[in-house]
Amino acid sequence: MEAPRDIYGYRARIGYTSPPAATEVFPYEFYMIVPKGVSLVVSTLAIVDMDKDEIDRSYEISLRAAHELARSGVDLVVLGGLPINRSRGSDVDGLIREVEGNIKVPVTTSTSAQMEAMRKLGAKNIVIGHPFPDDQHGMLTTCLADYNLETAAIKGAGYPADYLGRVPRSTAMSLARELMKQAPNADTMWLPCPHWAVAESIDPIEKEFGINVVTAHQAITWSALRRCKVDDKIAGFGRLLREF
Amino acid sequence: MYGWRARIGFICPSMTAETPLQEFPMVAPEGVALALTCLSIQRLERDNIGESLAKLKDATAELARAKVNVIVLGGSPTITYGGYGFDKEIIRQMNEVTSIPCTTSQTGAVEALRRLGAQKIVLASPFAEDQNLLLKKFLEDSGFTVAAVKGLSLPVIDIGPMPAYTSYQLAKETFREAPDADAIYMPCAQMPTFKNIAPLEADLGVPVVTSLQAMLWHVFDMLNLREPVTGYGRLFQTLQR
Repeated sequence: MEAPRDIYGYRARIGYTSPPAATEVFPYEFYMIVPKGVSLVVSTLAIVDMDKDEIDRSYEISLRAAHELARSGVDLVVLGGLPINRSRGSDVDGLIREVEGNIKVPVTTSTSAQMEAMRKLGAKNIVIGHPFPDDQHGMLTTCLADYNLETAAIKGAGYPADYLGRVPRSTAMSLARELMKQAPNADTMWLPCPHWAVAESIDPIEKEFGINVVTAHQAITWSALRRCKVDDKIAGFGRLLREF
Repeated sequence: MYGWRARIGFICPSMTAETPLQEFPMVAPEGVALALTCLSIQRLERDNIGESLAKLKDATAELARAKVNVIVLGGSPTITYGGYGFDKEIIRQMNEVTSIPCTTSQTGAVEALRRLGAQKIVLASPFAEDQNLLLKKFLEDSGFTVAAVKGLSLPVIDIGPMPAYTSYQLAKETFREAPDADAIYMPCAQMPTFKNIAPLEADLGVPVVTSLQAMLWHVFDMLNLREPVTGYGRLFQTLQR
């Protein structure tokens, strides 16, 4: 019989390659959400400005970090950063297979988790609220289109990548109100990027507009928990974690 | 933002961080957040530590751009690498790239031991003998008598997922070798210790200083955060006015 794992992550240890060179919000919200016995193992990458050079470097660093996370014995590695996941093309499943083959630990990506969450919630007509300037619109709508999902409206809050830790907690709700005016028939709001404070806005947005909310952080956490067979239904952070 | 009261920039010397992320929320007052950046230590070998320290200024600059309120370099091996006084040199290098207050967790540990009036201490560590000898020398040069040393000789990668009870047993065994010591010091923020601090102080009757506890105490002090933190040792009680 295997000895009991009397460690912080006795139910699951989730490895995450975290794109921002200064990672702040992801661990904060992770421990707001997960049940006792689940721990996070982070390795930070190199994103400060989100330019192409940084994304390329981060891709390489993330592969080394995945090896180190596997060496530490995590149960799952999540390759963070939708732009990093897709920087070598849209075949994210191919990336997962390749990294899993190398590190011999189950792997998923930020992209896969979010798109899986969309499918689970039956998303069809989606509004996107993100923290960045408008130059990120193309990358986000193309991602949805690659998964046959339609963008009904999109709005950015205009913050640079090095400001993510300081984005006001009211931002997600403000974006939701503007987007739902533009696209009142939307069925889902997507809040990509797991490095700005959105966890507390999920339930209020779902309640106010009668829609589902998928945030990058919530989807990654949900997908990682379920992949690690932690099936607790968790209240307070949207229908996704409460029902699926 | 979550860190509306204070945001602490933490440079984690190893390539992965686990225990500090788990233990920080146990003691952080409301409105205090931690921003993390990792260096690249994978093995506690001189070359690997040196390569990681070469990234210190970049890491400091990245946290400075995020406008944190204080920046702290974690780790004992990053400081004992240069011997006594190297923490001051590290702080000087960090201050070359930012005017944000900078410090090291080893600086915090020495100040914590002094604040508790420790003179004769025992060292209970996850490290191997080479690192323990360097740390012992650093502590002795800092004015402490190190009465006993015990290490677990664990690779860096195995320290985070240590069973929670291990540091309790290690500290107790080490103290047994020098029961007249007046404090226990446990380095390495990746070693889970927080749940054992209060039980050890109750069982052994001496204060316990651990790396992450001392680091947070030190930066809370720098940030003038005086809210009571209870259940994690006598050290935090010294913050209160």
